[in-house]
Amino acid sequence: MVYRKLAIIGEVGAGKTRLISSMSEIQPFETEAESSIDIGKKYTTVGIDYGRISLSEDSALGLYGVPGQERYSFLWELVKESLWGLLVLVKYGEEPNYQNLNKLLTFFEPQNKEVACVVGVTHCENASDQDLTALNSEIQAILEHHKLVAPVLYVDPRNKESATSLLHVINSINGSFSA
Amino acid sequence: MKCIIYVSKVVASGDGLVVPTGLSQLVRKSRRANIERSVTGILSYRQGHYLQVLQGESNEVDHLFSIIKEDRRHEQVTVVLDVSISRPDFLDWGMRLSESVNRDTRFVNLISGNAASIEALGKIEQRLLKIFYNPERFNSSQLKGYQDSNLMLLAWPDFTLVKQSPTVIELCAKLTKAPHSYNSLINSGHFGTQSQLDRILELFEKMEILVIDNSAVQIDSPKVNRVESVFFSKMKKFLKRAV
Repeated sequence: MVYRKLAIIGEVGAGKTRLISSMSEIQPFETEAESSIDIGKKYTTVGIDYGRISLSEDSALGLYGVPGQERYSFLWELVKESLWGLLVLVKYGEEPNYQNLNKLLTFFEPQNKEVACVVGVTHCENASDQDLTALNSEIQAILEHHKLVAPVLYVDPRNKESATSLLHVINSINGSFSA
Repeated sequence: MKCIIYVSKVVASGDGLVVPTGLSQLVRKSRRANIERSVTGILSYRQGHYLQVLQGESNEVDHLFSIIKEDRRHEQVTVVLDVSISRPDFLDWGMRLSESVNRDTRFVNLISGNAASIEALGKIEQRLLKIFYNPERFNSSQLKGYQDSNLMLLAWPDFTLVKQSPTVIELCAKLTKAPHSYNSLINSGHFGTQSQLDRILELFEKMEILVIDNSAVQIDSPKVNRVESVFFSKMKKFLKRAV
């Protein structure tokens, strides 16, 4: 059995739970709780969201949604092995916590471990191209800091096609040696 | 009217991280503020530095520049051009964010129109300007085309400037991982016709992320291990079914 993991990491409201729900073949296991503070939504993830995609009888991809805040880094430990890909979700409209993102990339070391890494910008349907270019420059600067060459893509986690396209990107990066 | 071009350095955070934090906010804010003041120009970020062109009525430009100099998000604000102008070059686009002023015709014309002032700059100012503007930085394909050359991407493109399509994604994945010969890309048939591929490559060139090597050394593609390759093929089949 070949089992690989896709770690989906992002801050509150970035769309991790929704994205897994759009991609998973099983009813995702969600560990959501009612938020005690105003974070713009009623429920938020307090642990790992889990989903799964079977590729064949002996191959599967596990989808693990993990909070991006450093205080949850003990959960990062649980998903760091056998990674097929690292997907970092950034919510447009809120200034990303770059210090957190820095710690996350330091922890997972996708550049040293040759793990395909993709940054997905969500909630950006109404953003102007100039605003997205600016956000892209900010994110690329932190990727450069980690000597990481990775795409910044625009994604709608509610849309299955958009969510699945991220798998296509990660697979293209992983398979780009073999063609 | 006048024109000021300055280059400044992004302030690093405590952990040495150099990120143009708030650039998106800055773009929105300066777009609004500059419309009120009728100051137009370009803002660009590269390698831990900002470059900004400010053009407008002299008192407005000077006033705005005095505010900009005090902003704590950047330091070492260095003026590389301060000249009188008869009319602004960027009137129709307000304050635009440009990822590559090197390929921006209006910026290039502005610099060549002030060649004497630029040549008279000190070494430090010249070096700072070169981060953004260096006509010799990349080999251009314009004369030779891509035929017989090896190609590589230094970074993924800004997907507001190129379509986020499966073809472009696959091409970027290949070229960011290792150099590939142009001929092998054409022969694979994965990237459309020659003119379609050329159009995408030209966009990458404009973004200054495409490296063209004309040394004509044949490149072999590296191989992945078998388990990875099997997983890749199975995922590819799954994605085909999912479409």
